[in-house]
Amino acid sequence: MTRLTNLTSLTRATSPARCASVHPVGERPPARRRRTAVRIAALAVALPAFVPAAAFACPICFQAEENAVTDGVQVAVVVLVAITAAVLAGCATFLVRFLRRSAALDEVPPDTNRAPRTGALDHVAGAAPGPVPR
Amino acid sequence: MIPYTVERRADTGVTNVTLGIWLFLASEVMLFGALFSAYALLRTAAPAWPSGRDVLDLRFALANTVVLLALGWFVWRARTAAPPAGTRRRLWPAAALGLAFLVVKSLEYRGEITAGLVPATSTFLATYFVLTGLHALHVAAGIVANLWVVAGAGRVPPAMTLGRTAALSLYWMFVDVVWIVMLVLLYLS
Repeated sequence: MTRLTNLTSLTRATSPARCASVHPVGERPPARRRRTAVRIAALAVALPAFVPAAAFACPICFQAEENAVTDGVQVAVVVLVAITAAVLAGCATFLVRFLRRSAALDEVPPDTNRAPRTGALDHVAGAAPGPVPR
Repeated sequence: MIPYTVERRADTGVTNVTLGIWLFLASEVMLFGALFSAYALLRTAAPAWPSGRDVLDLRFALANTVVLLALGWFVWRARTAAPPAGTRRRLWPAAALGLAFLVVKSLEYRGEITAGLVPATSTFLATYFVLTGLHALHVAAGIVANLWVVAGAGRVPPAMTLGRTAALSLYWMFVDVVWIVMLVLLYLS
């Protein structure tokens, strides 16, 4: 019986009418939109693998003689790309975290009974929080 | 006027000072990253590359490593110290250690220049002087920042001093990490 009740509630929760009330017609749910964006990004990244001839057309060393200079350029490019990727990954991680926190804040009503976290003062007792005039 | 806030923002999860210093450090990573990339290019492309152990004096580098690690420890401890007295007690020795780093570096440079090892001598020395010189400039800037926080510790509210100290500790950690990378690339390999 419980199982049947759960099934009923599930059917009700996922019914087209309910979905339409939460997400109006023509508007995709955020999770689905995010998945689509990730798929498009992954496809864009994987695209060079399908067109290797175009991807190898590096203006620096394409058809260049294999020597120490081209090796050096390749190593330098790899180092710089790795560092840039690490920095961008950090920025992207922060942005994702930022979006999630913003979404969570939109959903949860503000708790007026909870004292605000002060960040810099969390570990120091007795220090006064609050805005500080410059 | 934009108000100066010290609370952790609910949306970002960090204080504005912390966010700002992380963005600044990201730009610094790109600056040093470009130089390390140039180092990789020059080293790989060079027909011969000297070992840092043969050209440079490792004792200076090891002494400076100890100095910088001790400096980082003092600044890290300042994060949890109650301002203004606790902050001053930890940031003064840190500034002194930064000065000691610069003195040791100057002695090292003097010995190298006296021996005829100048940037024009070889590509290795050119990259060495550029990388270590830029790092030394960062140490000098860190000393100025330390003194600025110490000077302001008595004037501004404790929360502001703690925010500044937290940012300062992240900066010095970055300077330490860059030095360790340079120690490996320039002196030990």
